[in-house]
Amino acid sequence: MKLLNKTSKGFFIGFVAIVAGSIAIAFIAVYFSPEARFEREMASLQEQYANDTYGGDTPEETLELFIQALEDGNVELASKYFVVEKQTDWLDLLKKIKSEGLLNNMISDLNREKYEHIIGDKQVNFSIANDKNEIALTILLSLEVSGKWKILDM
Amino acid sequence: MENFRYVKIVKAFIFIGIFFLFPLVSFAYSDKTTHPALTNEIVKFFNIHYPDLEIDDKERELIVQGSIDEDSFGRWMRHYYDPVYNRGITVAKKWQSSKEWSQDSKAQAGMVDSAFAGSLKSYYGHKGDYSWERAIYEYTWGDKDYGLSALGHILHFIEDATVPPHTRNDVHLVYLDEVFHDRSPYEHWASKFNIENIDVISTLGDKKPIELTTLDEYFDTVASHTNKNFFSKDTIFDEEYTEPVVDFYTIEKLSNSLTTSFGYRKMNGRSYKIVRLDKEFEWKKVAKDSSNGNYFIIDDDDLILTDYWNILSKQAVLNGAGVVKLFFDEVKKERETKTLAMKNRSWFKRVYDSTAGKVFNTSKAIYGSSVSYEDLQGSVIAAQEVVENEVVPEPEPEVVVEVKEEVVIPESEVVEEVTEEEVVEEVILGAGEVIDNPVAEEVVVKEVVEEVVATEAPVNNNSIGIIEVDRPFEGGGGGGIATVTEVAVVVVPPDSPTITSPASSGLYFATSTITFSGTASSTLIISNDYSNATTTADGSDEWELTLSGFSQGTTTIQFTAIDSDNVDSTATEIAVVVDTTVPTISSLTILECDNSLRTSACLSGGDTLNLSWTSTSTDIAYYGVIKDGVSIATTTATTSSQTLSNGTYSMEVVAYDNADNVATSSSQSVEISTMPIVINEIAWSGTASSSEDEWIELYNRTSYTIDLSDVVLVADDGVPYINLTNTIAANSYYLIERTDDNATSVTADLSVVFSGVGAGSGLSNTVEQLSLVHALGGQASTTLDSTPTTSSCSSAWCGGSDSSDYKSMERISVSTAGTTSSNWSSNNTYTKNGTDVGGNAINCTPKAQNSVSLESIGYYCSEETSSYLSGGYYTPGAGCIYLSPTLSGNKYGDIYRGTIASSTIVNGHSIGSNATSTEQIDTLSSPIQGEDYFVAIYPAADLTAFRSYFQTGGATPPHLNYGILEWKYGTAP
Repeated sequence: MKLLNKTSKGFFIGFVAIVAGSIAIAFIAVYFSPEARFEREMASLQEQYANDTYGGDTPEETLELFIQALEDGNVELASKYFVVEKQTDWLDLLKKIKSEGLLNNMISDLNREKYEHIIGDKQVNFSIANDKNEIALTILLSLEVSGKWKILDM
Repeated sequence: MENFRYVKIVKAFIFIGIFFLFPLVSFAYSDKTTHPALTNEIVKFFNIHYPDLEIDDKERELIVQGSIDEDSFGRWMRHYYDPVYNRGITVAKKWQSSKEWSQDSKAQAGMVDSAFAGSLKSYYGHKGDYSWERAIYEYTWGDKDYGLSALGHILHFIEDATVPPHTRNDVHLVYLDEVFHDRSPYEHWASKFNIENIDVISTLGDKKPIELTTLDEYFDTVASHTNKNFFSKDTIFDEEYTEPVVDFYTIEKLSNSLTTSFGYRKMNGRSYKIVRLDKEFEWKKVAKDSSNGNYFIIDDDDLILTDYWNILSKQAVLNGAGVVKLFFDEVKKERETKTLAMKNRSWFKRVYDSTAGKVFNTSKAIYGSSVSYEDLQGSVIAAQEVVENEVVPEPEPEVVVEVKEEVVIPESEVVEEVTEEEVVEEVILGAGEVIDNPVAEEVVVKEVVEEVVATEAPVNNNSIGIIEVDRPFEGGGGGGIATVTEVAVVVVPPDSPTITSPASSGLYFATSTITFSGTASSTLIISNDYSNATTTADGSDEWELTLSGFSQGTTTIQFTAIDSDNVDSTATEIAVVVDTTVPTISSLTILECDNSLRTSACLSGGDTLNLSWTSTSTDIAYYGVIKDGVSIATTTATTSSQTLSNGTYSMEVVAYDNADNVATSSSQSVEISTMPIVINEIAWSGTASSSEDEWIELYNRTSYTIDLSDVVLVADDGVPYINLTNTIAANSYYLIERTDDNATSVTADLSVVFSGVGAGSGLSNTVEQLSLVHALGGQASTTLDSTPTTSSCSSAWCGGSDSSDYKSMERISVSTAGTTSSNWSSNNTYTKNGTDVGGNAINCTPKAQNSVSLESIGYYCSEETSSYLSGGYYTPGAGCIYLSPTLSGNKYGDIYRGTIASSTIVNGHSIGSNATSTEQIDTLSSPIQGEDYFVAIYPAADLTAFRSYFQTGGATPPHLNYGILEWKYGTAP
């Protein structure tokens, strides 16, 4: 009887250890799985997007804010009106446009008449024509998770 | 002994516990509109063409729901297949492609379950597995509803393969639709299609589902078609992809009147819009690297996205229906071969089958039975040796597998010895090892197998050959040994050849010689059932074969690959349609030419041409509208409206049939000249002799005689409404007088009552808007010219007056639109023409140049190339000419030094009554750089008054009948 109890106790401890170890392995495996890693990356990006409050409640308002920032010479602020993943690239480009003395040209063209077109309930584009009535600029805007409209493409 | 038993119990618990401790985390998100819509269309289309396999409403709902459910988290990252690089999406890591994922049962089962699938667990046991094989297995042997749902998941992939970003490694974050939003404009736009409003089937005509032989072929065909022929937003002319290419560009006007350039691509004899090109602002060229530069797949009329949808949605439905057909074919095949059923069985079950089979056959041998173990189980002979390698999910492993089984029936001892419990024990202890028969039995079997193999010819088709050799009982009473040996030989045929050109089945060709090409393993011979011609796949696994002599209509050809053992592959079928018949097209009709303003040629007074034509051909793909040899529009209708600028054009229409045979209509030359005739002068108040002596003057701006028979002059209130008659000569006037030809002393071209469609007659003394309208045969009309609207000049006429001077309203410029209020003024009372019925001079210019459109005076010096311009710097030379082309009467011209009303006269000259110019030498005394001068021309009768005014400003000008030209001496600073 004594031998049996000692053995059972040992086996029970071993069993618990193995189960606990299996749970730990399972957790680690799931935690480091590609899907879980990707989910954490997306959650981080989601937070970044949700906290990005630059932009207007309407596409027109976003464009006005963007143009106003350019008129103030504030290209850093102007770049904030693009979608998050494009803000860095556009900041560089706006700086380049400014350094080449073309910012006023850009502002002037952006202040031309805009022709709005609705692609879907969360995407619209504006067309701007040159003096010959040829479309010379297409601005694509998207309604983001923050509830603000952002420039997706230009 | 007890310890040994405890060990077994604990170990069993361990393995059981492991299973329970590894739940697979799963997510589910719905795809709301487009996928269910397309899936629903696919099923409907399938039912039309395969009524014997009709899917009922409940089953359709399961399939549709399955296609929705595929878009759950964790799965959507595997919805991409790039056929160019044979990969899935590469974000954060290289994800499995949809082509692989859809057929990878283990991957869908998850990391843990896949480890035990087919061994300790059934192969198709995991709930998250909606793979192709799982669908077939469940529908055939298990849960039919599950199988249909899984089929829906498969269709989701095929539909995704018709979305360009999904085939071009262009990630758009669909994760959590409420968090991010689809970046793809195409998917955004297409989301408006739902089950209620989608209609792809009616656009398919007589097309049938595309039938291919494997699911891989569907992925490759559909994804390649999408990748090679369409752009996604962020991969336009991406360096990773050489296609698509743009075949030609046209400049077109959108509904908002803006123009833009569209890039077209030709496919199957049709052209469709693939991209749009912005004209760039200067600063935008700096920003070109930010995106695709100035190329877009969006436009304000959604023409590009519509073209994309019209083609891609068809591909989804045609191929999707083919996949459903393939599914049912595979189900039928599975019922016969039971391949997946066997694959699904765990080791445990396979060993059980083997043992149970031995037991049963023992009993059968002893007691006799006509029923076989296989009949009872409904499966192929068990204990099939499976080579455990990584190729298991892949089709047709290239090995010949010998399966052997022997049943030894020594006595009933076998029944006693082989127990389930002991078999279980052996499995656990020998996990990972193939179950072998006992050594003693194996020796006997080997001998028999060799003998059998030596006598049987190899199987020459893709079937399992089972050779039975029965040996009779040996020995006398007291039992004996009965040995049954079975050998199953599996011959693996080569892979079917793929056909890459033509790109799909059912394409049209305008020739009876067609070249087919594709891929197949190197050295395989490619044959066909159309002719005896063959070819061999080269070292790059490519083949090409040209066949000729195709007759008109559809021919279906089957291509087969043959290996060195003369084993044929499954055939790959493709249909081609030969059409060498040129389509018909009637003469081109242009409405404006049928109602031309010229009798001898086509002259349109409006900028829009309405073209129409007919064709008796029934296979027209589209028509092209050609202007001066260049295509400017395409249409499937037999009419087209084109807006063009002024000029002369040669117009044609070209008909293209499905095989790209071409027929061209007759050409039509047409000239567009807007405002060919204009309203030039209006005497709305009549004359001093009679207020009813109203008249209207027209002017022909062209160098042609214009036919007025289809032209009316009408007021906005309908009164007057005047049908014009006869013609108006080139660069000439046309006078319309009210009631009779007595309003003026100038002969009228038309005398008519100024009545119309309303009450009353005559022109209002307040205001009217008059228009010249050209009727186009009752089908349409063109407004050639109009005066300003009634509100343009404060609700009054923009010129002219009534009593007491009865001035006419004169047009200043015939080149400026008549609706422009500033283009009208009153007669200046100095330049006049004719008298009224009472002999009084009228302040008007009927059939003469309007006073307000007269040119200004000029001062031309020979060292210049034109008359002096006001405000310019000049240094007059030896002689200069005073120009006065329009001032009437005896004229005088002076040159002054200084400014008006503060000057000194330098010199003066008589110009006379008849002359319009005089050349004089005016010597300037000590002129100073930048000093002011001016030339003035006026009636000689008012010489004193004008000179006083110009020099001192002592008197106001006696009248306005004079001209001034101010300039400065020297050279411009």
